[in-house]
Amino acid sequence: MTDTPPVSASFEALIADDSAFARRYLAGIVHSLGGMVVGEAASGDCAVALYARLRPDLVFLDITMPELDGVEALRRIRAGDAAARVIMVSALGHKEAVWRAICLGARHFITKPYTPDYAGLVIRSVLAGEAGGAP
Amino acid sequence: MRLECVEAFADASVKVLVAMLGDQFGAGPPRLACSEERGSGVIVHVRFSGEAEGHVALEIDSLTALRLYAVATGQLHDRLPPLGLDYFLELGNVISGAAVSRLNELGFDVVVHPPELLDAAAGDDPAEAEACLIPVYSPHGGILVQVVLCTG
Repeated sequence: MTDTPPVSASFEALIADDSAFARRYLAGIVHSLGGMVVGEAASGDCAVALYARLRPDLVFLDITMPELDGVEALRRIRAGDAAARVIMVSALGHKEAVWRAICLGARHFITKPYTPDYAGLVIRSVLAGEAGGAP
Repeated sequence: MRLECVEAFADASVKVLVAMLGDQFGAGPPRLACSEERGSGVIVHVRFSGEAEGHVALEIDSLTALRLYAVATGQLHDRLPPLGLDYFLELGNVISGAAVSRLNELGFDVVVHPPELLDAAAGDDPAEAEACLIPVYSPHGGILVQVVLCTG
């Protein structure tokens, strides 16, 4: 297991997933790490609009969402803020999906289903500024 | 329908259910759908497009859905709450994503569309003549995974 520094200060997160259950699951993990969910989106275009308004420390993007998918939302968020820290959280875990997201600037890629421990490890590493990675 | 495509859905169903619910799940032998077979309870439908087109439908009877949701959340309900229906949508999304990732490794560029609920009581019926049915068993009841996939 990789050692990662603890989350020393509270952080703000935006969660975009068309599943309310998935958002609630991830929000529980964010809260357990001392973070605060400042926004939730059920579509990619809503996520882009909320990011521009809230500028959270972390964004979680699902890929398969209605209207605008997570990959296009990632591209638009990063176009508006090259420093945006985005973690993709998707059931699509094949290499092409992961590389497409990493090439567009995602810091990490979590493949569903995932455990709270694993997500916590990823969140800590991204907040600590470590390089992104595949699942 | 190619055998490896059917296997991708059978493997993904069992793997995801074990990971999300932590219980013993197993897939039975796939068979072709009969026209009189009809889903009841919760039916999650996910459409695919691209180099392989079709859909997958997860059919879960009401009692099994209540039992599985209780395993997932630790909460017993007499009736599935709205978040429970959303849970099964997410389950369908994750199973589809895992299967499509496998199809991608097999060389098919497939797009997954957001899952939707079908209402069997209202006449929504995913059954098609060319559908393949994969029965998935668990101590809490069974899930029927119906796959229709045309790879050209």
